[in-house]
Amino acid sequence: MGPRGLLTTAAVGAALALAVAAVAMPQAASERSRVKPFTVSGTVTGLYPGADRPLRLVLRNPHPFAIRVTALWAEVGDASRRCRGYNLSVSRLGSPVTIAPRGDRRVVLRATLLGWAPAACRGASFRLSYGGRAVRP
Amino acid sequence: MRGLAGLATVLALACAWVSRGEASWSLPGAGQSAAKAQVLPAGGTPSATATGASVTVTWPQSTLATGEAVPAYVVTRYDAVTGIAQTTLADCAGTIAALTCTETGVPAGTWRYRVAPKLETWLGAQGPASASVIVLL
Repeated sequence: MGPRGLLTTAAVGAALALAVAAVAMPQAASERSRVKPFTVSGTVTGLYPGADRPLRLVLRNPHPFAIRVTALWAEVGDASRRCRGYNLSVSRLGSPVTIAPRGDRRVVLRATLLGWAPAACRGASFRLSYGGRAVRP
Repeated sequence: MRGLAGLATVLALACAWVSRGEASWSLPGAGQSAAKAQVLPAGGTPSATATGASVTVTWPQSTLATGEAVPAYVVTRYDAVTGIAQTTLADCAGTIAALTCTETGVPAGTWRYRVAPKLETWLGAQGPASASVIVLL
């Protein structure tokens, strides 16, 4: 095959690749945008300076197939202007957990109020926003 | 032949690129809740009994909202006439991890005591004052 033949082949190949991508990518993107998140709920009480308390959470899988949660974290919001979120630390998920189709799974993280948390944090309520990542096993 | 091989390679790369989204399929986690810090109760009303220059102060246990007992207290002696706080002497000075203490070397006068719960670095409100106790030397 001469140089013209090679160029033609490359052009046809590229056109085919673009056509396949044009058809498949929007579907993949729309699939991802429709994905329902797994939900996280739970709370912790009784925090005081230096205390390490269990944050008992329930993870709920809304899908008709099992999922494997590989990461889970909590972002801590300010309780008030004088009791900032950095006074509270929350651990991350230690090891992945699998949740059955449309099932629940309990996990425990640790919530620790720093030893120097100010008196303004007495009786405070910190907002926890959860994030996480799961895959289909 | 080389042209066909090139075309196959291009198609294979295109398919791999398109299916990349499926391989990294994942779903997020979402949710919100709260983390609540302890509310310190006010101290209870102490009783005080003088024996010479020693005054034994006893107070009721304070309980946290979570049902746990307050682990420590701070005792303050007041001049019953002026209401001015005094320097509490041994062995009622500082943080007391008990429900009673005996202050020794108390000067002659009429005194009242108040107790505040303490939780690590947090100090709760003082409770009502004890009845007056008279120290005669």
